[in-house]
Amino acid sequence: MTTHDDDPAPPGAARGAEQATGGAAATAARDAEPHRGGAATGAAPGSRPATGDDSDSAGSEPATGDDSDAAGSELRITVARSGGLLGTGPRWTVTASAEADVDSWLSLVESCPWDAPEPGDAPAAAATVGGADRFVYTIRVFLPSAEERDARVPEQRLDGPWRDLVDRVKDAGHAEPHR
Amino acid sequence: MSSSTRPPASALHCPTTGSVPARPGFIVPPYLLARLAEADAHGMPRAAEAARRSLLADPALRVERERAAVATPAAPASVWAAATPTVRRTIFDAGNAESLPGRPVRDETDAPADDVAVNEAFEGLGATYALLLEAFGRDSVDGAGLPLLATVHYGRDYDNAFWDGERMVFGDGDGEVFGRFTASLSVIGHELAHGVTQYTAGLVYEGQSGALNESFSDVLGALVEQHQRGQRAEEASWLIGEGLFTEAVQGRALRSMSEPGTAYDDDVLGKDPQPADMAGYVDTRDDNGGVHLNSGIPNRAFALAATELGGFAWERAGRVWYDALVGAPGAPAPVSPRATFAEFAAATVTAAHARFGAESTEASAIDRAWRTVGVRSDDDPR
Ligand SMILES: [Zn+2]
Repeated sequence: MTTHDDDPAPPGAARGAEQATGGAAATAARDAEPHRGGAATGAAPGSRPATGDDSDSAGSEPATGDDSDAAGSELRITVARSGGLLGTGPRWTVTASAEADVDSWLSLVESCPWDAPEPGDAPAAAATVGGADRFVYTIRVFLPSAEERDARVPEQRLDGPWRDLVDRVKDAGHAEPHR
Repeated sequence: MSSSTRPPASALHCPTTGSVPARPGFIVPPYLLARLAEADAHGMPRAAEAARRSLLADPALRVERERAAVATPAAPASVWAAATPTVRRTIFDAGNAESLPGRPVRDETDAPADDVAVNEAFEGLGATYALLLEAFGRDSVDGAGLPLLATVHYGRDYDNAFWDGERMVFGDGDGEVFGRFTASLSVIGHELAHGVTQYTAGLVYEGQSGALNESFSDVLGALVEQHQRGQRAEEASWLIGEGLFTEAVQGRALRSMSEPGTAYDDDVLGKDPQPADMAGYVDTRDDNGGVHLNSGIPNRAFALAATELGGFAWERAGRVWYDALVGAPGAPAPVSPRATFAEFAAATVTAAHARFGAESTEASAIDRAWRTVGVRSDDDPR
């Protein structure tokens, strides 16, 4: 069976957004910024779901078009679910390149409490929350500056901006098999 | 599991008839009731009395009632009225939201609901209660008659079941990979066993102690299913979560206790990642340090010991695992909250010595099983 039924944005649209430097394309990207509850295809033109298995390294996306700056302004977010009764779960990835799109994701990323005690220390945190067989979310952000952030958030603490971020990545992202 | 393996509804809903006082149902399959009614010869007077009463109370169980009456005459009602272990279940419906506990939809006074998940949860709680009481003389999760709570229809397309510290919670599944999580009795037993561990050894839910916590839940889940089916170790599937996957999935169950790593191999789920011995131990920060992965190692030790010993697994290997977790007379009690695999293995060997004797087949089978999975070595005393 397969669940790879996410419908990636048309390549032409994504390329166009990445190459755009003018106001018209930027406006279009802004209008289509990711929104909660949208379908997979609801992602902004520049926020195409990642494809293939290359999402482990931020720089491995093939360059699109002739805009050599695209990789340098790219934002990538991965959400991996582990735990649960099964132990393993899918991983979702979104990649954004258009400036307005990157900004939209960035503001959501920055609203999350990355410096709270729990992130980065998942096993200890989850173990003290109580219960068993709960999901644990590992969230990684690869910023355009090549800086990285990561956090592990147990399902029980997945609320507010964390929930918003994870839900948006699930909606807009490409799901990979369990690992 | 097929519905035909469950006790009939008449056995699940105890009416209050004749001179028998009203009380919540005591839910045990008839053949177990008959066997349990004779258990006072083995030091379980309260359980035996409760079973006799249950047989006597239910007009649908006339045959068993007569058998029990022949085996052991009923005691006066005053003997059991105060102390009878009694299951008290309440099932809630979360209505596909994620807030708990949800709306109460069935308790001991209600007839079966018009909702298969509600009834499966209710019956599964009863089957788990029955195993704890009959096999181990334990009255509910806390050993003191704790009411059993479950919530069904949690979340939307929710692919999981969990224990939240007070109750079991079941999702409906997404319908593409997973169906409803109440469909597997071993999963219901698994979740409730997390409660038993919480009230006893309190194994910390990370790393090796977390994998032991997970493994004990799989052990108890398997035992509940075998007990309910009247299955011997050599007849059992040793699968956890059989029947949860949709037909589209290439897989038998969530886990195989006897053959960890072989339960599924699927496009979406990937391949069952459980190791079968210490050589395959998985070091990871995911899944609370791989608690659902490395549980394959102690799981296989249990399945190996139980199948070598044969018979009903809860009577020998299961009894020893329970003693090690909870503590038992003659065995140092219970294992520490941060127990390693090696510490737990040593605790089971000690518990087997205490319950069955140092030269017993139980002790040697259990010791051998831990060696096979690489947890015990030649450095450990036999
Ligand atoms: Zn569990």
